[in-house]
Amino acid sequence: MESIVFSVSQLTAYIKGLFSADTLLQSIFVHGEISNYKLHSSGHSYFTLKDECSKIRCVMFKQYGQPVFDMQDGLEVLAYGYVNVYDRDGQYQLYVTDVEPFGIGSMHLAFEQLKQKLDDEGLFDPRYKKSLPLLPKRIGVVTSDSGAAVRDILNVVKRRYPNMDIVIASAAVQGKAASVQIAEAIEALNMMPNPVDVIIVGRGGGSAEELWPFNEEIVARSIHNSRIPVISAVGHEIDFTIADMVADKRASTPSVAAEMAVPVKMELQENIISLCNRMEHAIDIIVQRKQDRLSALKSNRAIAYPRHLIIDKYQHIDQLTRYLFVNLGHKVKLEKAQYENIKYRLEAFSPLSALKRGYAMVFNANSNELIKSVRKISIGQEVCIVFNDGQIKALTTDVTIN
Amino acid sequence: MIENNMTFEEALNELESIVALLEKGDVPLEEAISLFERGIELSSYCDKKLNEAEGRITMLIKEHDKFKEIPFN
Repeated sequence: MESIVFSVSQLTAYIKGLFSADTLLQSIFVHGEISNYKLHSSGHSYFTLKDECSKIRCVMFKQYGQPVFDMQDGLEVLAYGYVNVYDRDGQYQLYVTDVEPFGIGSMHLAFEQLKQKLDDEGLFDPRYKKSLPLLPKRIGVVTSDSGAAVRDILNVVKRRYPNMDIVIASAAVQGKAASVQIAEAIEALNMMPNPVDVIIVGRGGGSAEELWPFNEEIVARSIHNSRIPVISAVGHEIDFTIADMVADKRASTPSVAAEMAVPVKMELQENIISLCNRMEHAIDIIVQRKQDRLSALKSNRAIAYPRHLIIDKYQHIDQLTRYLFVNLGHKVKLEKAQYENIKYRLEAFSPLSALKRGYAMVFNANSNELIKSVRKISIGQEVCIVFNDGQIKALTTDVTIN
Repeated sequence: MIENNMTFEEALNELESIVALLEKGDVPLEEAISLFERGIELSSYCDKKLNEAEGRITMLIKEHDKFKEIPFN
């Protein structure tokens, strides 16, 4: 028998033909564990599926899209595709067109994976949670401008705080473009020159797929990076998204988010009025208390009836004056006696009494000086001679010195 | 005087602590009166803050790579 010699390419082409002719291999599900997963910069990914005994090389081309969950080594998956030969390496491989985690849904796994990753990074850490201002100057809302959520939020805000300023940064809230738009809207609100104090990010209820953007990493990161506190409000009470975990506050619905963001103006006003009333009441009490103390002091005898005190003083003064007068009277009598005595003695020496006895006094008529010596007198000088009962003027005609 | 960058919350907190102090009562009269005056100032500041916003609702849109606000209806 004459043997036919094949080139490598011919052989490979032949084998490839066998694979292609097999209908089973054209459409096959394979269950296995991922290893050596590599996402090439071209967008194609390469990995191996294995079980206890065997392995098969796999390739997943970019056009089939990236799965929502992370393709990690060790992950059990169910891959769907076809088996064929890669000519250049002469190896058969599984061309994967779709892949799902084995046993659980893709989205569920993706959710769990992202949650784990962000948790490991600390994004859910309570220390990152910013507190909401009691009274925002302005609030930002990230949602679809045509959705029910924006209407709900506006209604609640208007009811609670009629003059609140609101800025809406519209974003698609479902579909492929949604996550990027939501992230951009949050960033835009963070960059406004006239900033908002709180941001509500959310949408109304929907299917798990519709809510999916709020489970995407880009949204989670933009919420985490927001300087402004973020309230997440996705779907209904039962829906819990990654965005809810990263947000500073989670609201069960958009309406609840609006209630969290905005206070009831009337209540704040009433609170201030009540504080003012309490303050006035308190100061009244303080003043009253001071007055009471004053009254208490007044009822003290000395302060309440100062006249008593004065009367006491008067009495004392009277006493003193009585003593004074008694003493003084005594002293006066004594002094009067002394005076009489002195007066009597003085009178004995009085020139007047001498005059009575017949003496006379000579005065210089010009200077009115008493002349005690003839030497003070000259001939022709006028003198005044005073007697007991009158006086005369005389002219000196002679002077004799003894 | 109240600093203009004081937030509503800060003013309210200060007002609350003034009320608490006055209600405790053991403040000298002079001090009580100046606290009261401060309290009145704070309450009118709070009231001013409550009425600062104008109820404007706008939408942030991107135009030539710049964000601007237009009225929302």
